Amino acid sequence: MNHQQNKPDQAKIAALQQAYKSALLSVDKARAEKILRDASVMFASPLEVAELCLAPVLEQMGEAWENGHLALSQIYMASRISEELMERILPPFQEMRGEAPRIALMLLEDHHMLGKRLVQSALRLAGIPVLDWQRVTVEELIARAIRERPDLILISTLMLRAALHVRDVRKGLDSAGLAIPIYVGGAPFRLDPLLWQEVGASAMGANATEAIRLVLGFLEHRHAVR
Amino acid sequence: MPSDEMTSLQRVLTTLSLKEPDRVPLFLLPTTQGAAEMGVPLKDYFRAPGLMAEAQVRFRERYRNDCLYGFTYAAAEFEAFGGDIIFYDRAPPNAGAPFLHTPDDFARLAAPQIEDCPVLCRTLEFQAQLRRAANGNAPVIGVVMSPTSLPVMQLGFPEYLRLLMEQPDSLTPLFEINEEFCVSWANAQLAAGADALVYYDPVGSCTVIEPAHYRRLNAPIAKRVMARIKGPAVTHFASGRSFAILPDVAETGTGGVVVSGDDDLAAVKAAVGNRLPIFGNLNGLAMRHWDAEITELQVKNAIAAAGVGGGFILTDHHGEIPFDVPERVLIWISESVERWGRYPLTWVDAWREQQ
Repeated sequence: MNHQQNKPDQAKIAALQQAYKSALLSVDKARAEKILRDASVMFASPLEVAELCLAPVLEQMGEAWENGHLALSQIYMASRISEELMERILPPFQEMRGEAPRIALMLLEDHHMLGKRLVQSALRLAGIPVLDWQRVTVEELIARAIRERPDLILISTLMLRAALHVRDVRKGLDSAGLAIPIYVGGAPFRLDPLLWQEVGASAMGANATEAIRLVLGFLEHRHAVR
Repeated sequence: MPSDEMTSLQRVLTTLSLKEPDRVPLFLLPTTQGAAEMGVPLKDYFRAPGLMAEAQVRFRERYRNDCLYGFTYAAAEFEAFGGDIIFYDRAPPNAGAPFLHTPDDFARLAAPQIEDCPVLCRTLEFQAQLRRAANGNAPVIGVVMSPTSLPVMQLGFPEYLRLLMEQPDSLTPLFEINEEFCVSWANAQLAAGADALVYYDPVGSCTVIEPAHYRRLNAPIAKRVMARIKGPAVTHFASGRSFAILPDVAETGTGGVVVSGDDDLAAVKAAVGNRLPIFGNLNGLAMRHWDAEITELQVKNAIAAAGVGGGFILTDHHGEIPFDVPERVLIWISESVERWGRYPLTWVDAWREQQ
């Protein structure tokens, strides 16, 4: 099927995005569901619904939070609703993107999972499956990476202390001969824009949608070199 | 001290009355650094009121600080409710796993009795020692978590946000328990040694919830708590943005507001500076990279934005200086306040024109 021929025009996509965003901001799950169901007829594939409606809307909302125009509670609920609707309406994501890269996502040394959950939801909505390593210590992370050899490591942190420990993770992986890129996110990195480089991370996402961009960039690069 | 130099308490009280004192007051708030200062592990430090008091007295002298900070760690109240605490070597103790999971759990929860909680009793003793050390020359600052922010630790952030957005009424019993505890804990600190309190409400910030939500939920609770606290309390959003809700914050009866580095300090001053003391808004995490020049620039910018006319206290925006901020940066901040914070601030107009 030629998706380009079936793709709705830009005006329709923009209207759809606007309607979906409005439903999310109203925490109106029923309205959001109807919009997505209509969209799944308009678009050629479930992935297009994710790419042309969900992802851009969540990206716009992430940027609005970054700039102080939306609250975290709105981002969180938008993410929850979108994830739930995608699961209900569209086929499992694992079937959507061909060969799955091994992307491990984890919270480093904390019990407060909000940031990690947002990233996890955002990636799923973008059709990118992740390995959920939950909460890990530095030692657990290194041992598991040696054992399971993921292609990419995504680390969420809440406290500065944990963020600084990314440096130990990098050293541990290097010592084991593992050149796995580490992408980081979380409040310490957002408030100190130099921190990710200081701890030896390969990139930093200021919010969940930036995480999607970074991971998609990684996947494109990985595809190009293969 | 020159004869016209105010004591820290006079300086702070003059500022809180929205007048110009002799210089901009400085609230530098090192906490975990006290363990290194006293040569003990953090876990031992936070169990020793005498060590904590001595460290704060030393910090006040070293940094010409205008308060004594009677704060231990944010998770202390969570610990008082029975939560587990995780201690680290170079960072504040952190709350362990949440102990509430659904609204059904609220019925089994009771506010802790302060005298039964070692962590709270140690804090009270710490503040009593600070008051004796201050001898009326500097305010002792205590801390309470707002009834609306403590659930982040009690329930975990994701579940708390979900309930706030989907079933807000289910949280009422938890807020009621937390409110009673907050008032008791605040008044116990004021009785023991604190002269004023910080009312931490990061969840109330515009970074976390919508302004309309703050007005509907957080503000009424804050107003009730403030009315029952027997002393002044300043609202702190722990680096969360607050500009859009400042008029509502002012209506809660708060004694001031600590604003974020993400807020425009000059705009905050213009919006509420005539009725509310403003505290802020240095970025503690960024301080780790500051050199002398950047430090001076940051201090000058803050004083230029909010210092004129009084009503401004320079402090960091999170309520705690990270352990890894070099001591020299704190010295540079102190020296910069001494250099640029003397009233009248005659340099500010020319500085603004240059910017």
